Amino acid sequence: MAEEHSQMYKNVGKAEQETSRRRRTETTIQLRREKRGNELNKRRNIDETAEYESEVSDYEKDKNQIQYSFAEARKILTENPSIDDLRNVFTFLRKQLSRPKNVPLDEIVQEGLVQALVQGLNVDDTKVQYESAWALTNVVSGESHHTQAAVNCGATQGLIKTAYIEDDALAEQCFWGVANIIGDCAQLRDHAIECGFLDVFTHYVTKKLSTIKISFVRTLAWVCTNLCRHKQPQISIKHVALILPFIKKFLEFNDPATQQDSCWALSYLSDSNDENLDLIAKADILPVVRNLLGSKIPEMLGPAVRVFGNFTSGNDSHTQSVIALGILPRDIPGIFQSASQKVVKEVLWLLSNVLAGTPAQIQAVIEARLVPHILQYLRRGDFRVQTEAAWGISNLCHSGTREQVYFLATLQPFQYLVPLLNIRHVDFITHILSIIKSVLGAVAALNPEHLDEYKQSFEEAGGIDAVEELQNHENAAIYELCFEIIQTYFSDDDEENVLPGAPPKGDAETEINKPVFNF
Amino acid sequence: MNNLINVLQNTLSNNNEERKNAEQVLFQYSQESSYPTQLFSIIFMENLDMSIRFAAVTSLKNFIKFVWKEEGESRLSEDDRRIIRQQTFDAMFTAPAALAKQLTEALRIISCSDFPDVWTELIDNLAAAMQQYAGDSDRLFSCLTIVDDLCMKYRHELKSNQLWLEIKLVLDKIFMPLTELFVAYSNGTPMDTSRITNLTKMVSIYHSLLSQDLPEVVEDNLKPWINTFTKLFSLPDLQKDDGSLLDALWDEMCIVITVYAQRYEEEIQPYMQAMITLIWDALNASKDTKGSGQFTKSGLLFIATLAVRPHYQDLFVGEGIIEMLLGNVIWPNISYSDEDRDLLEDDPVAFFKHDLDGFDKETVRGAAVELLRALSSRFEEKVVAITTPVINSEVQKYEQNPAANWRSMNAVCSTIVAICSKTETQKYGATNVSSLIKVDDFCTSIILPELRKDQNHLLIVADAFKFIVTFRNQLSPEILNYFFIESVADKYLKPTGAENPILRLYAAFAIERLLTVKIIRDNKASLNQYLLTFSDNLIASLSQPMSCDNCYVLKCLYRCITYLQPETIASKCLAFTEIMQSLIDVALKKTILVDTLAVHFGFETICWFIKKAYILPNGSRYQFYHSYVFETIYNLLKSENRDFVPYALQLACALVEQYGHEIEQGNDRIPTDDYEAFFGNLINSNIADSGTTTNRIVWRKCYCYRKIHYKIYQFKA
Repeated sequence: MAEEHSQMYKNVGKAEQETSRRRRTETTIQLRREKRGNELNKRRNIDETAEYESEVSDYEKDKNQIQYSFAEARKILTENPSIDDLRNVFTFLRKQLSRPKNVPLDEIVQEGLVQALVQGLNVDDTKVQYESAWALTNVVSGESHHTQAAVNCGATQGLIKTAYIEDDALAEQCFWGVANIIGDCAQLRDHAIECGFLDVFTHYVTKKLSTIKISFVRTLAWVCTNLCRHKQPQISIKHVALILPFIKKFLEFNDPATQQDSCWALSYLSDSNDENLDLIAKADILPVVRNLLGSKIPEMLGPAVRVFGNFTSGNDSHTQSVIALGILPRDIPGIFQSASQKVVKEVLWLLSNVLAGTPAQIQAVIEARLVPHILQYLRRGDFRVQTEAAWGISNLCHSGTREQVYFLATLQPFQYLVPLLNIRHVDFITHILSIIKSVLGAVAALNPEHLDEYKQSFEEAGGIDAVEELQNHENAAIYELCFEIIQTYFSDDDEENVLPGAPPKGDAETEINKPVFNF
Repeated sequence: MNNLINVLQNTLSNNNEERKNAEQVLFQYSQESSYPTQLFSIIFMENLDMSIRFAAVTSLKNFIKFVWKEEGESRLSEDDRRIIRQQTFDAMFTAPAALAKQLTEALRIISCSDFPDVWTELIDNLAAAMQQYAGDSDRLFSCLTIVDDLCMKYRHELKSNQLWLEIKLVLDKIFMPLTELFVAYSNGTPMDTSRITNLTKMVSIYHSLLSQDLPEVVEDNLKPWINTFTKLFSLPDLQKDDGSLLDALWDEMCIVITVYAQRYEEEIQPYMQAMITLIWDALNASKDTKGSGQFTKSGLLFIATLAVRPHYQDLFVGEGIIEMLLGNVIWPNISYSDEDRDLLEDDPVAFFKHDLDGFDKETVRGAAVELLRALSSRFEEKVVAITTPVINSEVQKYEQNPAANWRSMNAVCSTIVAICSKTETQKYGATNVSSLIKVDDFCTSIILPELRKDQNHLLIVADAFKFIVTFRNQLSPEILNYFFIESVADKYLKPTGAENPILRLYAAFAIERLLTVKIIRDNKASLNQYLLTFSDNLIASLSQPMSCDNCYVLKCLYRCITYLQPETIASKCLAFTEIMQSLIDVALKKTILVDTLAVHFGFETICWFIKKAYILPNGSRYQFYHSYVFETIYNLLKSENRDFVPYALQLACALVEQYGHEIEQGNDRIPTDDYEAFFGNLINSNIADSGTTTNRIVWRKCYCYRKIHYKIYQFKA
């Protein structure tokens, strides 16, 4: 009830609610384009021989190849075709579907040829099966309705069944096809699982990982990413338990691309509820991810940092498991030195979550000497980085002890904070102002004899001018913060007055105008 | 219906009685459910006199305001409301233009409360209207006004799900039509006031829509907007009597680009160089245009924003860029503008206060200084290297013909203060100084001579005083001493002097600030006679304009008095007290307007005497200072004007406190009759019950002191 009540008023209690840890999944409404940094959820198998040649020469080359119209192809397939016919038609279809551009997906679907491709998987000829699997892979790599059309024809079951065949190239192609289906949406993921996909997946990961080609391993890792990718709903907890050991295997596999994909998978799983986080924590997988933090490849760092960030957005014990790995003092300074703004943003998000934790956890950030770094990013980051850095500092002020906030004060934060006050963004300005208020408050409480020095450094940074200007802001929360700062710290003149100050204006005017004394 | 028309007509009557009656009758009409419908009919009666139709539309607006905004009681059903909404919307586009304005206002009131929850379709209707009326600038203006108004809150509300859902809805419905309209409309002709006003509205809506975050659809359509901005920034500046037509439009566009530059760096990056060039070209184009202040200001601040951000450093390192900015953009704007001059003539005290506030970012001059500071914080060496010869040549230019070229000197002073004083506080002035000039040399060779001239431009004297104040903690002790010993400021303080009285304020301000410098404070004994001269001059000037209505004079006076030596205080104390009493008296009786802070310093001065001159020299009317103070206190307490009652009680506190100190120091022959009488009266009065909080607190304090006082008294006895 109390919470409901506070929500009735736009700004009341807002700071308290928001300055806690932030889950990625909690941002329900997005205005900005979501830029997910990772792999595509569908991939087409483009014919690499065709890829490097122009359309014309492609056509020239295809002269050797028998050309059909789709109607003709259909006709041949329905009239008791020979193996050669099948090979020719399926190769033709596959080539059509593998063109770099202008893929005739719609035509092929409309002509009902997808059904034929699914049946092709059952033909007892590896060439035909391979061409069918490839062609289907490219069909399901299209729009959702293309994928759905193939699924309706039984492509999932067909591909899964064919994947058991002892021909690695064909099996890999089948996995690729299923990966595209799973990549489409959560519903098709569950459909593939119902069709027994996890069995064949388990079979390959547990028994064949050391014997298959590296490209196949990568395909398996990628399919694993797709399994974990979708949010609504997320893959069920029982399947998570099944997959986690596989992810660990991939992470330990000595191939950056495999590690990357599986790390994304883990980042999706950890972007979830506490239950998932508990499972992951128990799977002894975090130390493996920790090793990836040393990587200089941004594509590798991104998901690895994301996993830890997700953990810090869980409860205190999840956060603690990240701190316990020692990444704050050991890995993060190095990442700050080398990483891109994108990764830096993720790291700052991670730290802001730790800074929303217990005083001991906040102390861990302080002792790892990371607070000065965060302040630096307030100055030189792009706005997204600045926003995350401001969250971190603001969380420190909000959840930290007074001594910890005072520690922040000793780092001369005003030179970083004040210049940000001219950025037109209400939430951001509110953060910065509340930080300023906390810092001055901590100094006033713990080191009052030096308060004047801090006030001076605030004024030197242009703080008074900026805050006075913001008092005209239309947002009531901003106005109030400014008023409080001015009123508490800067309203008196610099005199040592004998009088406590001018009487409040209008104070006496309310009285009845009759003399109190009658001497 | 005819009755209602008659009543409306009567509300316009010149006869007071008749009008009041009509207004009452109209109120009764408004209780009937047919009232709004009838008003709508009247609005559209073409053969009716326009004034009555106007009365009808105004009544309608008031009715809507009453029902929607003030939640006035009304028996309107949801259906009625729906009908009124739609009728108002339609009427806004079909009623004569003269009436449309009131209808727009009415719709604004409705939409503000009903959108989006109750009246979601409004946004569809507006999107459609925007396309339908693209060719009719008045109607389009109405439509854009409503949209602009709806979106304005996105700029200053904190993020919430509800708010973002609304933004999403508005974006979905309106952004593409708005984009198409903006592009097409900017290609239309003629480029006149109404077209530019509408374009400004569109940019304003755009600004609101991207102020929470950069929406996907806005990002996708960055190109058409930026291209159109480019086009509009390149328009030749169009002159109108009251300034530039393009000012508001350019200002709004510049603010949008600033938002991009600060928050959406990645997305704007490809366009940034082009935008900068455009904006400073536009600054150049408008620099001689009187009244193009808003854009000049936002343009200067835009460049300042970029200069301090690491991402945009590359834009400034090119050959000649900083030279160009200093020469073409900063220099022309850094001296006093015509508006400043007008203010100086109309309200000199306001000008003075404004001027002391430093470089207010709200002015063009302040924005130019902001940019100069931003540039020199990043590129100090280069700025100094470029500025030094300019300063020399401008000073020369000034010296050749001071009367004509005073602006050169003014610009030099502003520049030096802006660049040299890297950080500043009220208490210390400049606290961190750059190497552009040697402050001492410049002060000796340029600034002090300006103050010593027999005749000088008012603003140059003001600049010189400000220079000294700004660098007071950097100037050598010799220069500071020179300022006092050579009586540099005296002639500006003299009440009979030929100088403009406003300069007295500057001089008083300068002296007061210099007295806070440590070396002066430590040396005050040797300055005693000069301080006395200052005090005498200031007191003599109190009867002049711009004195007792101004706190700076009184503050300076207070400061001088507190620096005087004990024997001087003893001899002058009563004369000064009389002055203060009469000042307080004037303020109490409100015979002339006295600045509240000036009164404050009057009381401060008396408190100072309580501390320093309790026992008065032989030959005084009273032996103890408290006798004079009790006179003042009773005077205040007996007055009809209750404003100073808290001050009276505070004075009483100060007296009791000092009395305690005096006893402690062995002055036990001080009589207590006055005190006892006062406390008796105080306790018997109703001041603690009827007074305000301040009074009660002070009363309690007095009461405590009284007990202490008795203790001491008894102890000694």
